[in-house]
Amino acid sequence: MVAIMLRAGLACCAAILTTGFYAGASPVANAASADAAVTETGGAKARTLGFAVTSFPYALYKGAGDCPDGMAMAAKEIYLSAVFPAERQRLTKPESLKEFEQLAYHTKDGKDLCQAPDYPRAPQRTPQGKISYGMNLDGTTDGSATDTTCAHEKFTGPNGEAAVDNQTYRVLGCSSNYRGFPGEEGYLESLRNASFKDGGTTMLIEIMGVTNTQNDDNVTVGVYNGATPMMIDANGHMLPYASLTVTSDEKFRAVAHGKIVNGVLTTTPTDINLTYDFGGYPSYFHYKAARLRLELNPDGTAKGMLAGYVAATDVDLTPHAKQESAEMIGYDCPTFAQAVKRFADGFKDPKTGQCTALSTAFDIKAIPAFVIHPEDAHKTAAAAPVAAH
Amino acid sequence: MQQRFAALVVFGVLPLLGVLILAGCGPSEPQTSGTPVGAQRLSAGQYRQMVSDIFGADIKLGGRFEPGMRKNGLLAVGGSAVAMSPSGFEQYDTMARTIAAQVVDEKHRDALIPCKTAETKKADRACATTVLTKYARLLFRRPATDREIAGPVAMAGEAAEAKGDFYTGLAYGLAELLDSPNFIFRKDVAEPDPSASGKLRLTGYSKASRLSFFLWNAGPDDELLRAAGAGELDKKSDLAKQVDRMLTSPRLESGVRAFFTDFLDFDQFDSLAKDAAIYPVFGQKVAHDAQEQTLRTAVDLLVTQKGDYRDLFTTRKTFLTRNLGVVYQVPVAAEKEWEAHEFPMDDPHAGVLTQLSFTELHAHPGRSSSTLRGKAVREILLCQTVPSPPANVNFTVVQDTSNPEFKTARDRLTAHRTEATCAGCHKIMDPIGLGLENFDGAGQFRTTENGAPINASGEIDGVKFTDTASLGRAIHDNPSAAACLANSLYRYAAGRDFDPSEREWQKWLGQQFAKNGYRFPDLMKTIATSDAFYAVRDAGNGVREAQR
Repeated sequence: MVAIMLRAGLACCAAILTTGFYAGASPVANAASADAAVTETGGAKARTLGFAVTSFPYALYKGAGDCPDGMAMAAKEIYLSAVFPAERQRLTKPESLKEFEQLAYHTKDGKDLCQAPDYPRAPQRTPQGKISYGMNLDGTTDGSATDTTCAHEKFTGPNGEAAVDNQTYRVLGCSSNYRGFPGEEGYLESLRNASFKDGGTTMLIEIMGVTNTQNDDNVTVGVYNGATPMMIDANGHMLPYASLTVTSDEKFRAVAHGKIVNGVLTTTPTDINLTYDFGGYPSYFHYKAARLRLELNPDGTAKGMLAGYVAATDVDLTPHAKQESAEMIGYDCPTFAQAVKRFADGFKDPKTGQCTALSTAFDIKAIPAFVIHPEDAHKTAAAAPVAAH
Repeated sequence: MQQRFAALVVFGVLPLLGVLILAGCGPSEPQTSGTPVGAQRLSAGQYRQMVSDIFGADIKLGGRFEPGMRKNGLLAVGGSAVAMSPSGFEQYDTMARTIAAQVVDEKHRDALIPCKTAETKKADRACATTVLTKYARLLFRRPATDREIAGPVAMAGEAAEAKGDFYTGLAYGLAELLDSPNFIFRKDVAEPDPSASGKLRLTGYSKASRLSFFLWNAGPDDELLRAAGAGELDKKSDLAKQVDRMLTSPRLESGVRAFFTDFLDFDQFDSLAKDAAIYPVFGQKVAHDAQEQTLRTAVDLLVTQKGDYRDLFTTRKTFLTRNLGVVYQVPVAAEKEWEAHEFPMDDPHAGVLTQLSFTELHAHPGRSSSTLRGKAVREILLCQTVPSPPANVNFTVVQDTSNPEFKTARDRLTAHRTEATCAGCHKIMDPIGLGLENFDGAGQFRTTENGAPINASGEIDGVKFTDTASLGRAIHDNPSAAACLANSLYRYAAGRDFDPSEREWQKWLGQQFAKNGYRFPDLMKTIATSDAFYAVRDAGNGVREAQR
């Protein structure tokens, strides 16, 4: 998300699939419950359930007192905090704006802060709470380092789930543009969710080979970007039961094995690539060893979580940005870059020992949809008896 | 043997056999006395189609049509009674000028102007006469008289001189043709019938127009005009050939669509609105596609498959877009095209009554309406008359869908029917409409209303049904449905109601329809080749040409 805003600010949104991963084993997933009957194909017994995602924000736990030091500071705040009050007053006058930005957005030798990730900074303010959404991704109980992961502190899930990994939460959890103000969604998260409604992003989930929507130990799950926009009702809400076409770009079509236990779908780890569009700027995310946990509701909807490792380079795109645009979304490039590096916990580079990805989790809300594959969608309408009128 | 044969000839048995053979061994067409000549205003669709056929599909009209008048269920019948208001004429004039300007513009003139003028900065009477004569024949659906051409030619000349441009002048002349009542109205013209002294018959060109607007919803093509000019439409065999040609033309589809658009009251979609808070799924795209779905279903069943008309009430085969798939909650693979779809046997969608074009059109903006749906079945599909409600009816119980005492429409209507003034009419409407209560006001399927299960059983004309599918079957089997279609098609074709002299003929038409397996194109053929369709009589005032 940050990446997108930076790219937007720079207008340098080249369509690249950034991957900062090194191949490596990844831990296992959890499981969980309900019923959703949508599309029926392949006979009475094997069904396909289709869903369109309507909301996909970072799963950020918002406990009171999680950010006791305050919210993460942006470059201007950092600069002002280091000068005397009189200078602070002078710089914040309108006539000093140009000078202020030159000082705040650049290193002492005049380099843009986003091109100086190692520039000395105090650590970013991060959540100090012990609770977070997420899943146990590394398989350890204490977050100690393994061959493929780096040592990190575990969380406890809001429902008491032990050993939850979510280092992205540590980086973003005290950023006001993600966390939002009390009672409000963070600005960047609202932007991401709006892209579904605005037609910029379509994300589809398909559960195939379902013989029992409550318990089925062998299903195949597809997670895709869609090629057609969500359908919208008269009130601007996304419509259930829309037929939506899957992208023909195989990069954005992932398939995993899964099972349903008491109406909850879980999948085995797999790589999932997704692209989002924020106000016309595409952004690409590469989730490694990602897994789904979805409650399949009786009304055909689903809700749950996608957890996995997100490449550090997908989270921190400061090398592609300018501090001026980073400021727009409320962060300081070097502080952020250093936080990403410090909290990275997965896909360890065997040569350097530095982890290249952060454990993460996204909330998912989905409505029933008919997932149409491109080869079906683009068939000529030979069956239509009459010419178009 | 020879003697016996001679006797047969003498006593006329052989001629009688011949008549029977020619008549297809069935009852022959009853005689009618015809009706006085009349005129109908072109419908918006017919006007558009004619402009497209004559000048090209890319010609824009640039104006609005006055709304039609529905009379006894059909706009086509009302078209015989409507004139034109001054503001309506202004719209026609605007369209005429817009069309004419495009015909002569640089993009179109090479293709549409059949002569070249040497000097474009002044009038060219010869070229203008050639152009205007050509288009007058097509627009008036007959050759224009010299007098009819003289005015537009003079206008073209004066305007060319005044504006210093031949094409600008020609546009004025063309606009005059397009403004003419001879174009905007389909006017019957009668002439003495040479085969029946003292009687009248329609001219060949008038017959051609009737035929063409009926079968194609468009003006006659060159071949039909030629046949009319050659007198061929006055001979039954030649007329039949032309009818066969037209029935096998791809243009027949337009005619069938136009009839069902009128028959099913689809003009009401222009003002259809739903409460977005209650039915957010409803929108203009859905409304548009809903009409198209039914028209495609009808064309496919009746024309492509040559099926039984009555199956329109039971068929599970239809066509969908993704806009409709959302409402019906079925997958539609094609992104932009229409896609054939067949609802399974256990699906509640069967027949046009369960299609959105019926369920959403005949409902209130914020709730379903068993009464409106029942009324529509009675009046539109069975051609029966339902009296209007008295002025002082209290609808409170029916309209209050949140009354916990009356959760379903059946509960509310049962309470409403306790009023004696309402009971009579509701008895003939509600039991039908309650069979469609599984479809809410936007046409979406539901099994409950306010948490209470919906009972969709009922009775129509003594036939009980248990759900929407069996309601469709009951209407399929109701003799009034086929009779209504046959009568409506004839009234649509003739642009008038039945004449008292046509009672026997009306009965005969229904019999022919049944005999032909309720095939719609056969019904069209029966009408198009009948004597009654073209029969005119002198109204006693000597008028032989419809006046407008």
